[in-house]
Amino acid sequence: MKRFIALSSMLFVCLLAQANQLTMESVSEQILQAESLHQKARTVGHGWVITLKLIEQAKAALADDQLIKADELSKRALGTALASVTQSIKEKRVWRSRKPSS
Amino acid sequence: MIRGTVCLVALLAGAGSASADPESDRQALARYFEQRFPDVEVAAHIDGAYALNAQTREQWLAMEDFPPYEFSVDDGEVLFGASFKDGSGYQDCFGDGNVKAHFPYFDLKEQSVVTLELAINDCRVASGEEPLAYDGEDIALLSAYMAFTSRDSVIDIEVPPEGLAAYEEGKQYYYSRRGQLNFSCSHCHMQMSGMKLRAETLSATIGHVTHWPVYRLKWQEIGPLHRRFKECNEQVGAEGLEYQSETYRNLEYFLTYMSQGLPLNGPASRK
Repeated sequence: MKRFIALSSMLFVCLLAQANQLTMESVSEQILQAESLHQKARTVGHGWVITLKLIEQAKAALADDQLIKADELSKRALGTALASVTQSIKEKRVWRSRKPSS
Repeated sequence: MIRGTVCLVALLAGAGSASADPESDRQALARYFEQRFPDVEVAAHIDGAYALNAQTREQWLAMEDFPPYEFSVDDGEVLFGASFKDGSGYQDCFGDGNVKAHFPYFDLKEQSVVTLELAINDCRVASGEEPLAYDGEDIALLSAYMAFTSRDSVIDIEVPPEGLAAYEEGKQYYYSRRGQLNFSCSHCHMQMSGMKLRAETLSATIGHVTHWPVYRLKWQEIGPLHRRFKECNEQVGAEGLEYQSETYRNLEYFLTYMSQGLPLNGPASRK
């Protein structure tokens, strides 16, 4: 029981510390980065549905003052946006390999 | 010396495939499906997945006894026969409506691909009418009627040198992976054609454009090809594009050339 309380306290302290490091500005910046990357992918026809969904959820969490949740969601949005841009760059190179040879 | 020759040959081979013409693309694709489905004639693919699965074909043929798109064709005929405010009508643009075999085409003046839906709206605008919404019912009904009057006509489109870039863009779109699931159109409709995706058999690329617009039981209404494009995109987690966007028109251009020489059999019903 003592061990459980100790671990829970440590987790609480960690989460508190993380929350303290986060600011509205840093999370907003992350969302903006995700939006910018998503737009980049979108203009070449590689936008992903999930990215937009995550961005919207992150914005809603931020508006609701749920910083940790907004941070987590915006990081995920950034990840999927980056993956979609990577996909668009890679596909420019490899799409021809899929067509049957003439 | 040998290494240099090998490099030159490789470069030339690469250049050859990069500038492949639509006709050799079409022939290569036809050969691919001939090898993949040796018991299915290429022309049979106009029936989509029903050419590949005897059991579902039987059910589909039973459904075609009383086709669900019949009312749409009738309603489309009424719309097609109506006059515009200036006294002209669709007949002035499309005759009896049997024109689908030559769509889409590359408009040299506009330097872009013109689909039948786009031409319908061009016809309206030229007569002072408002264009129809591309996701609306009327344009689907009109194209259903025109598909019906075009039945059995053989697809006969051209890709002029000026239209090659649009054709190539459509081709690139078809073979490029997209969405979170990282699928290209060709993954489902070439490599996995004939296989099952859940309960559905995946159709072959060839014949994909011959039967549109389609009454889908899932939609409970008749809808255009671009609605299916958008749906396919979204099924792999990619953002769908606007109906009649340049990208979808180019994709339709490429796919139509891949079905060049096949008879039109629209409208059709699908699950």
